[in-house]
Amino acid sequence: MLPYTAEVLFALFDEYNQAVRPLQGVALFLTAGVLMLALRSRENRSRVIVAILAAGWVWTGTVFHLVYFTELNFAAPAYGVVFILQGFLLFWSGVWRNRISIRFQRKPASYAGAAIFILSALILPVIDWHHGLSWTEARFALLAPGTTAGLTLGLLMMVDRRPPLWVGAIPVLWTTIVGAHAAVLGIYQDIALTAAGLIALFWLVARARVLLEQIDDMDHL
Amino acid sequence: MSPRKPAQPAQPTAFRQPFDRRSFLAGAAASGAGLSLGITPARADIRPKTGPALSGPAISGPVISGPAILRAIPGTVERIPVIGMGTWITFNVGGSRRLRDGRAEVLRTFFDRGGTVIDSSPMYGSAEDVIGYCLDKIGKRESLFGATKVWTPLIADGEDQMAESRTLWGVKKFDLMQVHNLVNWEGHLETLANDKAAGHVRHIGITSSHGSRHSQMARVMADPRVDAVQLTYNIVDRSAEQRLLPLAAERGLAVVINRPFRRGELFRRFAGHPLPEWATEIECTNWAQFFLKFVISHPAVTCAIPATSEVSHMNENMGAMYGALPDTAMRARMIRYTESL
Repeated sequence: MLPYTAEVLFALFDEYNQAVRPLQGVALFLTAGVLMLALRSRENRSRVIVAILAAGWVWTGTVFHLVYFTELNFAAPAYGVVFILQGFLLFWSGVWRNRISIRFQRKPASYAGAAIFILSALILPVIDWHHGLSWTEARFALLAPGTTAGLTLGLLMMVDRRPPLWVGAIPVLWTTIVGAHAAVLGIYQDIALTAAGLIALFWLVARARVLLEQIDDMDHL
Repeated sequence: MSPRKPAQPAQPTAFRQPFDRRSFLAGAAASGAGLSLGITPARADIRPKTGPALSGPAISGPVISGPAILRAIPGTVERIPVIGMGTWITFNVGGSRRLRDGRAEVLRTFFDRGGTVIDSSPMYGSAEDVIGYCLDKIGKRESLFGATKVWTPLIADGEDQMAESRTLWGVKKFDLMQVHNLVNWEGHLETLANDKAAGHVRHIGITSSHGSRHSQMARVMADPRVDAVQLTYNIVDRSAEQRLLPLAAERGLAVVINRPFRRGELFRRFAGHPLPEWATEIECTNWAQFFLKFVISHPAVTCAIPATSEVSHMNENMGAMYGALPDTAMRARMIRYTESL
């Protein structure tokens, strides 16, 4: 049982979005830019992509969770810490150590990743609008927790090297939490994020196992 | 029922009139005398949201006149209205001015219908802040019986939390301070006893909303520092009748009932069916009153605290505070009827 209703949650997004205006424009520009960089990825562009993602996680954890959501939900401070942690994990792995290489390839995983990306960046806000919500109640990727997690998972599915499992753990966990909240609050469109999280988890684990088996085979040669 | 020592008169504050027996009896008489209540027609459907709380439907239907039902806090001369108001979820609306103003109208209706007891907790998000906002807006602190909770495992944080609650509500003291869900009750009871001696709290209570904690509740109820217990009881969840309610009566404890509607589930289950014709014998014209009168008709119950975010539902709830209450035979009949549905 959650201590608030869907009406109250979207009223909070309204308050939050009005307070951080015009950052929504910046977030939309960066979201589009991240997708373009992923589609045309070259050396060092992955670092830019991950840096933007990391900034989105830190912002959402610090501002949305610790300043706004904490008013409604006593668990929000913990959420904020986890989001900030995820931001630092992404930065450390993908920017500092350059271990996350994001490059769209003509493979099912990349297409699935792109679909999850578009779901988070575009489809969910459109569904919210279709349900009568205004733009100030929208959940912009890089500014709102669920869509930021979805965006991240979509991009992680476009990684062309060994996928960093542990940078996907928190986004997958968050999409699961989103699904649980969605069921209680009746925001059923968010269950699509949970499905996306499960797809991403499956792919990340399966790919890691394939790579481990390949490494194992090479060791035996 | 073992007698308990009378409550000490509350210290006068800038927010409340001085407490004495005369003012309380006068207040009780004023709240009851001349109060007539138009009751909304019986609803055979689930209690739907009627839109913004400001736009509740006009009250119509049979008029119930007579005094509001008050119950004594055992061992004291203090009497409180038998229907209060909970704030879990319903008053956790954050900073939205629109939603806060809507809740202010719900609260105004509550006070206008004779209510005084409001229950909240730091666990309920922004509910305490919203209560303070609403009380400021409608200016009703004089008649308020404020009940909140201390909810932290750390004793050191308890004092700060209770002080913050007083600030948020805009009151100098609480009428009832409860240990929420028995979290570190041993430590907090000691703190609360000191606060009561210092005049910061008038009554001390414990709460539980979990049926599985009845054994622990029974043990804590034996503590002489406890004045009140809050627990779950409704026409479906009646396990408290076996042990906790008789024990509370035996110990002379006030009983506050949460979840009288089982968090709305009773409406989902039963409101699609018609009220029985004999519900008119206890002056019930809607399911809310049917459920609430069942709860408050138990002799051990002091007050029930249904929560709502709708003015129309508040009118329905407060209607249960007037008119006849079911006797033992009628209570059994009410149970049989719901079980048959």
